Amino acid sequence: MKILIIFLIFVLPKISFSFFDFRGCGEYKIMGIPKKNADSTGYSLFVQQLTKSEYQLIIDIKDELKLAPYVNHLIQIDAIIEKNLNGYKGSIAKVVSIVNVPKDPINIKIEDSFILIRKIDCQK
Amino acid sequence: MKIYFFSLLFMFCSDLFAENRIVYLGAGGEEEGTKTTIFDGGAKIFAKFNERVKNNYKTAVAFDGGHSESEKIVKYDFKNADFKGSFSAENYNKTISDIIKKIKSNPPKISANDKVMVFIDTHGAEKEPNQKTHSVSLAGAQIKSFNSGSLPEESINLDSLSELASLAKEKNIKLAIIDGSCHSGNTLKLANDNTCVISGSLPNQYATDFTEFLAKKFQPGKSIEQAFIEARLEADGTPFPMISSPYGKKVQEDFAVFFPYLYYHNEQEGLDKIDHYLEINSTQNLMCKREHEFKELNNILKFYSKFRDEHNEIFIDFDVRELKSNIEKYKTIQDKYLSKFNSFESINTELDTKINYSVGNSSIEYTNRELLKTNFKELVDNAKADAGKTRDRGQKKTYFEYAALYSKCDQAKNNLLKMNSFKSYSSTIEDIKHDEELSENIAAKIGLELKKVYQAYYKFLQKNSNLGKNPCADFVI
Repeated sequence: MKILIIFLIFVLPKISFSFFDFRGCGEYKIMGIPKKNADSTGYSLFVQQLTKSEYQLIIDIKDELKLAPYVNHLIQIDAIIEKNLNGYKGSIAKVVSIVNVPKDPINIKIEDSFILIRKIDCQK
Repeated sequence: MKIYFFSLLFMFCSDLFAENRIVYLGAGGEEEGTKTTIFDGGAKIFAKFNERVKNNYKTAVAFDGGHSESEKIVKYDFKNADFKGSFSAENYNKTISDIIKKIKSNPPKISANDKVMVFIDTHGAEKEPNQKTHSVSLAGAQIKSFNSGSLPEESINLDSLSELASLAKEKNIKLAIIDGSCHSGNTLKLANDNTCVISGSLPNQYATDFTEFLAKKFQPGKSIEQAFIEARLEADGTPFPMISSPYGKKVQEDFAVFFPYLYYHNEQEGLDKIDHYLEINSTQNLMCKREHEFKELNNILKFYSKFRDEHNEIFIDFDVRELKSNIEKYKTIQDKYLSKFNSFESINTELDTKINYSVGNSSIEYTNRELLKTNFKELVDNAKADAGKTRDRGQKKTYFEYAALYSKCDQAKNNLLKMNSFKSYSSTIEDIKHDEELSENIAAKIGLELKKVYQAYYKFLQKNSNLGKNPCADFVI
């Protein structure tokens, strides 16, 4: 019983906050903003920034050129995630395509940040 | 008998514990190295009001941090506050979670019909795509831009007030959230049957000093709705303060067609709401939609003109002809840019032409549109810095190649800008920044007249309709 309570206290909140819409490895449509990593090399895609469901996905060095024109701009990308996320951090194995999403100044549209296109097995 | 006695004792204790609460937060994101902040005047006005209601409300203040004169206001003007501190994330969380704890405690220290006011006066950022509301700046770091506010670690997401708003509804507590920051119209999303939200601006607009006017109108016995209506008329400039009362929602919904004429550009201050609006509305479909909305706007003005003649007693100096003429004038200027952007449809194919750029093993295709909008100089600097940071030889080589490739793209961009059509596209974006006709001047004139119409229509609705529960009228100070 004690174990169950400890599980509920420590594990459940993390599940509800961190794994809200990430559904395992696969190809996703992801909405976010590519930004320069402050303390390390390269760039990350910031998803749902400033919320309790924020994710930071490191962009592979080989995809950096593709995303360069969209640094600091909101975009939606088709991307492959091959490894499970570690809390709110993870990495994008491949950027398949980019869709620019301009902000509507009157009424910014809210769309799901992660849309699963197809599932794939996670790499270990 | 015992049960009766304990029930009485419990009721007595609940009453004894009941309290009304004010949380005053603000002055984040200000320049370092100065003694004052732009929020000091507002804080002094609020402190005077706070002094008048000290017997009915307990107060917590989290304001500024690092400006000596501003800190003196916290220390000396808010004499009766039971909590005083800087506007840090820790103090923000403490002041809000203290209220939540008091509501949840047994017996509750804040219970049904008690009043809680959260008053926020700081810099505010644009709403991020997955935020319900928006973020506001905390103390300790200067804001980066009026659009993005501070960095995430130096700001607080006001979505974090959702729990308090839900509890207010659940426990029938009267909650007022006043957000005077830029882009604060987004905060109205927190409103519910027990939560009244007042903002200092539209969701996509800069705010000025509305909260100062509002605090001046706060008086014991007056509803915050009444204070809002009075203050709104007196406040200057283009900001369009909003309220979540049912009447406010109705007026604000009807007034949406006026909002494009409240956007403006101020290059010196880095304020730029009109730029993006013009660029993204330049397609044929959106321009048609805009014309349709303009017709609707004219019908509304005709209605107000007739309405004013019939209800002369509630209109103050409202000149429908001047408002109409200013909107038409501003529309003509905006249309000029929309047509320019639209004319670039002819070079759309060229703008979308992909060209391959390569250095060593690195290559990429960019469209001309991507090329024209990208800041390659910054990318070159970042790639060089990354090459210096990494110890991996392969990565180091790649980053140096990227730096060379970005330089090559920058050169190609400059060559493109030598061609008339592309130069024209790029210079149109620049022209907007420098065109004084897109300045605040005309938008402010429109804003001022709209304030009079807003007030009259609001009062008319209040008098002649019942739109349901109104937490803004129920919150009597």
